[in-house]
Amino acid sequence: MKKILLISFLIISSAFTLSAQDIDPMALLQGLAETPKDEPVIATFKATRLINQQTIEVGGTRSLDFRIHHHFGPFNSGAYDFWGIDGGASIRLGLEYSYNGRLQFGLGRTSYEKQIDGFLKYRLLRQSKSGSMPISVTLFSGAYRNGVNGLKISGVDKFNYASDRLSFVQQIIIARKIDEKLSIQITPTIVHYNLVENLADNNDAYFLGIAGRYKISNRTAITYEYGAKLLNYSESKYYDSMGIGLDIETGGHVFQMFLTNSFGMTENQTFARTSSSWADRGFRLGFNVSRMFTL
Amino acid sequence: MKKVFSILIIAASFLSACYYDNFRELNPFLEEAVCDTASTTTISFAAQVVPILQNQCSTGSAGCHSSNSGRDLSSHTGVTNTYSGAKLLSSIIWDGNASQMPKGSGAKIDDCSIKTIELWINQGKLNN
Repeated sequence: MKKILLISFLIISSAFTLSAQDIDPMALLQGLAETPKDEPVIATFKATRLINQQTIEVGGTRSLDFRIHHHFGPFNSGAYDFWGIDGGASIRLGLEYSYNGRLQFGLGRTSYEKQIDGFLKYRLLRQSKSGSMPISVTLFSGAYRNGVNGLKISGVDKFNYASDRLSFVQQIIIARKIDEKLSIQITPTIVHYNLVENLADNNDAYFLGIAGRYKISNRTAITYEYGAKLLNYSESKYYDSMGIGLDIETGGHVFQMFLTNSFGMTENQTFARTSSSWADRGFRLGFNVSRMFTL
Repeated sequence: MKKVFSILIIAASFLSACYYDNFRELNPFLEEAVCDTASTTTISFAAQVVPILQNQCSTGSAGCHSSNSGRDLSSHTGVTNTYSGAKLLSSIIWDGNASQMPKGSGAKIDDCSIKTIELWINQGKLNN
């Protein structure tokens, strides 16, 4: 543990010395050449999201990330709805800020379930180039509020208490950039819903997120993610969330196109409340757009 | 290390609003929805179909399927005149022949409600 702390301290301090020398390009180059060999691995993933899942990445120092997530309707809605493009879309708008490049907080609004979310993300460990730290670890904690009014079950209001609208997600995100092209990530996840519907339902649900990306060129990568349910948690029929996509990087933008069977897009919705399945052709087209601003 | 602790404390504060509520436990005297849709029973429009439409289809005064919306599902005349039985059914079973309802919900209405409406249509859309 001491060693890890020492290394992370070294990494932080080296990052600070780097940023202090950005006036003269030559000085910067020299600074780069002189930095110790044990520098952190960068760009394990292109953005803070892979498809729906969080990645270990957080925004850089003083960065404001404006994100648009959009999911269309399901493919199996047929020709009448142009295979989902016509209707029933969901969208999330988010603003995510990081001051020091390690801690990030974000706010978002999702149209599905009229949900407001807030999250904190902290880069605990960074994989180092020398291999002394083989993995990157990021902690994630999110809170979500369902804003739908007038929901009734058998004529009784579903949300009798304000607290019943809330749900929470805690994650430990672990990733490794195996080589220049391939990165993999696993994410033990707890999803907690304050209110569940059926007697046998569990408020806590446990998942293992599995994700990876493979670069096919400098600016594009193929992405894949799966959220495996570890224990049954609901009598209602929910499916594991799976997505396959394409990352395209253009300047300050990261554009992500994908197919996923999740209608929601935040962690609680995708892991625990995905109600359409790939087997029924319930997958849908979606995209994320990320625009980074430096403040 | 201090930093890490402060993060953990912030993260833990999220947990303080944590409840373990269960809708069925909060409402123990709620009548269990009995799915009485054996093909021999006659479905009552007023008692069985109307509650489903009211809860699921936004039939209120300014709703998507109110009486003056042009997509009326608020009364028997509205339901029978606006949509054919096949289209009504397609929209809730999501077979691809009609726009999926409820719009934008991401999930179908419950199986019992679908069965009830299907049976009501098959029995000739009675106004009883």
